[in-house]
Amino acid sequence: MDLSLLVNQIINALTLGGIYALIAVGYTMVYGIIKLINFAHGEIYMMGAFFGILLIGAGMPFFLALPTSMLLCAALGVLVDTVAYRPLRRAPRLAALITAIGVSLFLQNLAMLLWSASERPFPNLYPAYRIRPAGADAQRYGEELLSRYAQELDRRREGPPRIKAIRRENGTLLVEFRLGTNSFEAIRTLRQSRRAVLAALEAAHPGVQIETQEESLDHFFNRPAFVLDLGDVRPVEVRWKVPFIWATTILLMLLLETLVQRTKMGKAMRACALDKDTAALMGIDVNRIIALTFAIGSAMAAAAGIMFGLYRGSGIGYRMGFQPGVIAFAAAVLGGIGNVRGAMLGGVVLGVVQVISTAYITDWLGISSSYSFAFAFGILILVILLRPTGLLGRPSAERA
Amino acid sequence: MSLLILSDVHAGYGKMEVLHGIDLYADEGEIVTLIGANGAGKTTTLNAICGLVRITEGTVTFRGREITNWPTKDIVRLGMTQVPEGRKLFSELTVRENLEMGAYLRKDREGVRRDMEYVFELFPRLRERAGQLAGSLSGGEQQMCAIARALMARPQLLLLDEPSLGLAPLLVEQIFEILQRLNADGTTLLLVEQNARMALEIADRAYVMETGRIIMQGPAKELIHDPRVRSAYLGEP
Ligand SMILES: Nc1ncnc2c1ncn2[C@@H]1O[C@H](COP(=O)(O)OP(=O)(O)OP(=O)(O)O)[C@@H](O)[C@H]1O
Ligand SMILES: [Mg+2]
Repeated sequence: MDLSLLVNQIINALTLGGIYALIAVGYTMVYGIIKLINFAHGEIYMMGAFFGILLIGAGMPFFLALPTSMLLCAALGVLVDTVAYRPLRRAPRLAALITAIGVSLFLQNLAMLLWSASERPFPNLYPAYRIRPAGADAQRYGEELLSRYAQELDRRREGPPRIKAIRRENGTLLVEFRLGTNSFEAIRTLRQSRRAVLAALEAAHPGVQIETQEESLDHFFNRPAFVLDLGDVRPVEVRWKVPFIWATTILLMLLLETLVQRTKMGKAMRACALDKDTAALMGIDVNRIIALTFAIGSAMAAAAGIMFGLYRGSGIGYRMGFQPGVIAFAAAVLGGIGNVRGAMLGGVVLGVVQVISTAYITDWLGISSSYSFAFAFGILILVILLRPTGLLGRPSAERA
Repeated sequence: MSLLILSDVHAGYGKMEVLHGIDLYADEGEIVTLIGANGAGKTTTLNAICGLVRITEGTVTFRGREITNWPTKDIVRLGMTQVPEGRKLFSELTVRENLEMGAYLRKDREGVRRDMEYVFELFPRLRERAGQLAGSLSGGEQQMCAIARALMARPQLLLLDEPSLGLAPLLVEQIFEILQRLNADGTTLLLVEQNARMALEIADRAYVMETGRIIMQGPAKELIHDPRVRSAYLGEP
C-alpha cells in the first residue's frame, strides 16, 4: 500500500468529513426543533457557495466574503422557513416534507436561471503574476524591459481586467489584478502588453535578444503549510487551505456547541425542541427560536459550501447541493438525529468511509468508485440496525 | 376590576367543543380554586386562558386587556404563568436550566439570582439536584421543579394544574403552605385540584365544573359545607 497516498486520502477524508459535519448540524437542529427533514438544506449549501464566489468575484476579500455569505444564507434560511414551512407548522408532517422537496427544486432552478447550468470554478484568490526578463540580452536590457512593461500595464490599469498593483521586486515585476479577475482575462492583458513591449524594444535596439516569462503566483491558501516526511516514501505536502478549513470548521463547531449549551438562546432552542407549548409558557417566542435555528444551520451550510469550493477549486453549480445534502442527512441520522454532537461525528465518519472506500475498497472489489455512496449508506444502515437512535442519540423513552 | 375575567368562554379541540361557556373571575390577591371530576374541562380552561387552546367564542381579560387567543408568549409577558398538568419539565435540560427558562423573560439578572436562591431554599432537594437532568428526578422532585420554575417568572397570576398530584401527603402540605405564602406575598392563584378538600381550605372562592360548565360557585368556606360538594368531591356521604 502506498503510504503517501493513504495519508493524502486521510487528509482528504477529514476535510470532506468536516464539510459534511457542517451541513449535518443544520439538518439535525431543524429536525430536532420541528421534526422536519429539510430537504432544501443542501440547496442552502449550494447558494452559500454561489454567494461566496460571486462576492469574491465582485472584489470582496475572502475573509469578508465568508461571513457575508453566511449571513445571506442565514437570511435565506429564515425566509424559506417563514414562507414555506411556518404556514404548515400544524399541518401533517408529510405536507412539510413535500414542501421541503419543492423548496429544494425551486432553489436549484433559481440558481440555474440566475447563474446558468454550467459549473463554475472557485475564483483565484490571488490573481497575481511575476514577470521575469529572459533571453541573451536579459542582463543588459532587463531593467528597460520591466519599466516599459510597467508603463504599458499602467496604461491598462483601469482594465478590464483592473490592475490593483504593479511593483518592482528584485529584478522582476509583480502584477496584482483585482480580486475576481479570472486567469484568462489576466493572461490576455499580459500577452497584449508583452507584445507591445517587445515590439518597442525591438524598435529601440534592433536585433535585441530578449523574452519574458510570466509566472502565475499562488494564494497563500495554495502554498504548502508543511510537508509530512514519511521516511522512504514520497513526502506529503499539505497546503495552507487544509489547516484553514479544519481550524474554521472546528471553530464553528465550538461556537455552535457553546451557543447551544451555554447561552440562554441555546437553552431556549433545546427547550423548544423538547416541548413547544411549555416553552411558550416560559414566554419563549417559539417561532423566533425556530427561525434562529434555520439561520444558524443555514450559516453553517454556507460556510461548508465555501470551504468545499476553496478545497476543490471547482464544481460550483446548481446541482452541487444534492449529494452532500443526502450524505449530510445520513450523517445526522448516523449520529442520532436531533443531536448536534452526533451530527458532527456522523459527518466525519461518513467523510472517512466515503473517501476510503473510493480510494481502496471499490478498486479492490473491481467496481465503480461511485459505489462509495453505497458504502456510506451501508454503514448508516448497519449502525441504525444495531443502534436505532444513532451513535450519540439518547434512547427515546423519556422518564416521565 | 378583576385581574382575570373569563366571559362565556367556549373552546375545544378541532370540531369538538369542550368548554360550553365558562364565566369565571379572579380578583387581585385571591386564591381561586377550580374543582371538578376527571374530564370536566379544568385543564382545557387553564390552557384556553394561556392561549394554548383556541377559544371559539367569548373573551378572556387579564389586567384589563382582552387577551383572547393571544399568542402564549405575549400572555406570559403580561405576567401570567402556569404550572402545567403533568409537570412538563424540559427533561433533557438540567434542573438549573429549567429554572432559568422559567425566568426567560426577566432582564434583572440580580433578581433572578436571588429568586433562584429563594426557590432552592423552598426546595432544598432541587439545590442538590441542580446539575442533574430534570428527566432523571423523581416524580415529587419534578413537581417541585415545575412549581419552582413557575415561581422564577415572578408572575402576577399563577395558574396551577394539580400541583399535588402524585406527591406524598407531607409534601402536599408543604406545597400548599408555599402556595399560601406566595399568595400572602401578592401572587394571585388559580388552582385546579383533585385534592378538593385542601384546595377549598386555602381558597377564597371556588368554582365547581362539570362537563364543560360551571355548575356551582361561591366562597370556599361555603362550598366546603355544601352537601353536593361534600358527596361528589370530598368523598363524604
Ligand atoms: N388534546 C386533546 N384533544 C382532544 N380532546 C381533548 C384533549 N385534551 C382534552 N380533551 C378532552 O377534553 C375534555 C376535558 O379534558 P380536560 O383535560 O380539560 O379535563 P380535566 O378537567 O383537566 O380532567 P382531569 O381532572 O382528568 O385532568 C375531555 O373529555 C378530554 O377527552
Ligand atoms: Mg386536567
